[in-house]
Amino acid sequence: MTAAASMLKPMSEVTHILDAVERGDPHAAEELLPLVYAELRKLAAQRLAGEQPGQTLQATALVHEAYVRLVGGEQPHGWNGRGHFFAAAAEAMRRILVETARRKGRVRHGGGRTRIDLDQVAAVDDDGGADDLLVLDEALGRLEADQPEVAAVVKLRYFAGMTARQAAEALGLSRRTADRHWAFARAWLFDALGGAAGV
Amino acid sequence: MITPAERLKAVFDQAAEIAPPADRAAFLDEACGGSADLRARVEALLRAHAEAGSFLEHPAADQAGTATFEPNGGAVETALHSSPEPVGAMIGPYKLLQQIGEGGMGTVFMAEQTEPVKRKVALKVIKAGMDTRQVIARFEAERQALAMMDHVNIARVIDGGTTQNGRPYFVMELVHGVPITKYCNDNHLTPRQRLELLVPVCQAIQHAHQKGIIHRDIKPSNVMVTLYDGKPVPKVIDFGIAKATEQKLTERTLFTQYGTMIGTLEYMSPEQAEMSALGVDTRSDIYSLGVLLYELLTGSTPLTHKRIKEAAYGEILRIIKEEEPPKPSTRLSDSGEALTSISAQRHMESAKLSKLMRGELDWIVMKALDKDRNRRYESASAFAADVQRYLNDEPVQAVPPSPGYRLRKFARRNKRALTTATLLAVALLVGILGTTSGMIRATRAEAEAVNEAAQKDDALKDKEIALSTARQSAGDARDQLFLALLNQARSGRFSRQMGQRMESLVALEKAARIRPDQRLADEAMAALALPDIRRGPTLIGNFSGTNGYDFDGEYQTCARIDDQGIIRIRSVPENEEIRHFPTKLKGLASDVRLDLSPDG
Repeated sequence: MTAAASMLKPMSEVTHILDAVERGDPHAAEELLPLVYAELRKLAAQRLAGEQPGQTLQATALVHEAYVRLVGGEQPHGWNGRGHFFAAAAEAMRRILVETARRKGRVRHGGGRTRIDLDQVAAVDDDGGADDLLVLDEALGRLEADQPEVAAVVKLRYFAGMTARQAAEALGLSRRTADRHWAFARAWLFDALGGAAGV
Repeated sequence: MITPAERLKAVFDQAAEIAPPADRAAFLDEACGGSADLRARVEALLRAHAEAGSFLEHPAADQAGTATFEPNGGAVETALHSSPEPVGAMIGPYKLLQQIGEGGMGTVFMAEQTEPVKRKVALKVIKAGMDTRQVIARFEAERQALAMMDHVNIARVIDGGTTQNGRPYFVMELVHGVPITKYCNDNHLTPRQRLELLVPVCQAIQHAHQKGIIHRDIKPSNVMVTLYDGKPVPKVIDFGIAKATEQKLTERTLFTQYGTMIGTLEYMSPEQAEMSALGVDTRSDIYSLGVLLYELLTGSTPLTHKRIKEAAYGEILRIIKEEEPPKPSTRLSDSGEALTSISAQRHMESAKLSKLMRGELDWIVMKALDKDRNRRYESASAFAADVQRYLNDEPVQAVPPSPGYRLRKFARRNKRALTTATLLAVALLVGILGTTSGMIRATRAEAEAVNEAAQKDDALKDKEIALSTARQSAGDARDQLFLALLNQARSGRFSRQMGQRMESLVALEKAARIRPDQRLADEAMAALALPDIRRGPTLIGNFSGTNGYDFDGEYQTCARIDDQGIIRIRSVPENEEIRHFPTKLKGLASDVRLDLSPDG
C-alpha cells in the first residue's frame, strides 16, 4: 500500500476492493459500487454548486475524476481492475440519472412537497427527457437479463460517456466486438422503445 | 449451448455487416433456416439499426436538460448543450438564436439577420453526410427561380450557403406556425374548414409550378399554419431544399437512410418511388397534395405510418407504385374505434363523417392520388378549383366514370390481350406454311407473346398514347388475323399434302367469323374442288390374313370376320367390340366379303 493510499480512506478501500476483484473474489465488485456512487454524487454536486450556471458537465470527466480520487493516478492496477472500476462507475452514473428522472416524474405527477404553480409545471412538462430515460432504463434492464455484456457496453458509453475505445478497454473486449455489441444494443433498444426518438 | 438471445445476436452481427440487400436476404435465408420468428426478429432489429440515427450516441448526462443532479436534497439544475452548431454562433451574417426544430435532414434554428436588414429568419443546417458542393450547386441553379416566387402562402427562400463546418444551410422566412394537420386537429376543424385551408396551399403550389419550381417534399411539416389577424394562413416552407438535397433513390440509400425517410415516404409519389431515372414533374406535387388532403380528411395517410414500419423497405416502394389505396370513406369505415376520435376532431358524428366522404370527396382525393399521373388533376389550380367546386356545391370534375371513362378503363385493362392478338397475328403470318407444326409454333409464340406483352405493359408509361395505339392495333390485329387465315387457306390448298382441303376450310371458317368476304367464298370453292383425304381414327387390332372387313361411312365402326367365322363389330374410336355373332363360315373367312350396313 502506498503512502498516499493510507492518507485517504476511500482510496485505500477502493484499492483493496480492486485487488480482491483481481484475485477473483466474486463479492468484491458489489462492494465497489456504493463507494463509487457516493464519490460521483459528491463530485457532481461540487461541480454544479461551485461553478457558473451553463457549465458543461460531462459524465466521462466525472468518472475519470472519481477514478483518480479513489484509486490514484499512478495506475496501480491492471486493465481488469480498471475495467471493474469503470463498470461500477457506469452503473453508478446510471442510477444517479435514473433517480433524478424519477424525482422529476414525481414532481410532474403532483407528488412534490411544495405547491407548484402553473408556470413550473409547464416548464417541467416541456422536458420529456426524464420519462424517456426511465423507459430506456427499463428496456436496458431487459437487455441486461439476456445479454449482460452488451448492456455493459451501453452503460459505459451512454451513462458513463465513454468512447468506443475506452468502453472496449474497460470491458477487456476487442474493439470490433465492442462495436458489434454497441450496434446490436442500439438496434435492440431502439426497437424496444418503438423507434421513439428523443433519447 | 447457445441461447436464443445469443443466436439472435450472432445472426444480427453478421447480417448488419452485409450491405447489399440481396446478399443480406440470402444470408438470412440460410442463417435463420426455418425459424420465421428469428427471421422476423432479426429483420426488425436490422430496420431499427438503419433507423436509429444518432440514438444513444450522445451520452445521457451531456444532453440538454437531462443531466440534473440533486446532491443533498437541494435542486441544482443546469441546461447542457452539445449541439454542433451552438446557439449564439454566427453562420454567415446570421446569428443563431434558438433551435426550433430537428428533422431527418437537418436542424432548424431561429436566427437573426443583421445585414442588409435586421430581421429574424429560419436557418436550416443540413446534416452531415451530403455532398455540400453538389447541394449548393443545385441550390444555386434554382436560386433565381426561387427568388421569383412571391406568394402569401409561400415562405420566401432568402439565402443558402456553407457553414464553417462545411455543411450546407438554407435561410428562409421565419414562420411561426404549426403543421397543418396538427392545426386542424387541435382546433377541431370540420372537413369543410380543412378543405378551405387546403385551397390556398394548392394555389401556392400552383404559383411555384408556374415559376418552374417543383416542391418534391410536400408533407404536413412543410405546410405550416400561422395566424394573421386571427385567421389561419397556411405557408408552404422548404421550397427548393428537396431539390437541392435530393439524393438518387437507390436500394442502398433507401436502406441506409430509411429512418430519415420516414415521414417522407408516406407522401412520396409513385414516380418518386421509381428507382429508374423517370423524371418527376409538377404532377408529383399534386399526388403529395392528394396524400395531404387524404390525411386531413381521414386522420391517416393512404400508406399508414404503421405499415411503413412493418413492411420491408422494398415492399414499401412496391406499395407506393402499385397498390391502390382505400378510398377515404373506406379508410374511415375501417378505422374501427378510432373513428370516434377522428370524428370528434372534425366536429362531426361518425356516421355523418363517413357519409360525407362517400362520393365526391372520395373521387376528388382518388383523382389526385391516381398512380397514373396523366389521370391526376393536370395542375394544382385544377385541384384547387375542384375542391372549390365541391365547397360551392357545384358538380366536381372528378366525376364518377362516364361510359367513355369506362371504355378507356376497358381498353386499359384489355390492352394486354389486344397486344397479344397483334403478336399472334404476326406469329401466324410467319407460320403460314399451313402445317400443324406452324400452329404449334404459333401457340408457343402466343405464350411468349403474352409474356412479352406483360413486360411491355409494365414498361409503357404514357398510357394515353398507348390507349389509342391499343385501340388502333386492335383493328390492325383483326385485319392481320383475317389475312393470315386467308393465306393459310390458300397455301394449304397448294400444299399437296394430306388434309389440304379440310384445313383450308377450317381456316376459311375462322376468317369468315372475323369478316365475310368474297375472297373467302372463292377460296372455299377452290378448296372444295380438291380431292382430299383425312386421317380418321386408328383401328387397332390383329389384321393378319385377308379376312373380309368393312367400315361404316364415317369410319366409326368396323365389321370383321375372323378365322373362326365369327363376325366382330368394333367401335373404332373406342377400340372396343360392340357385338359379335358366329357364322358357319369357319375356315372360309378369307373369301368372305363383308358389307356393313349403316345401322350396324
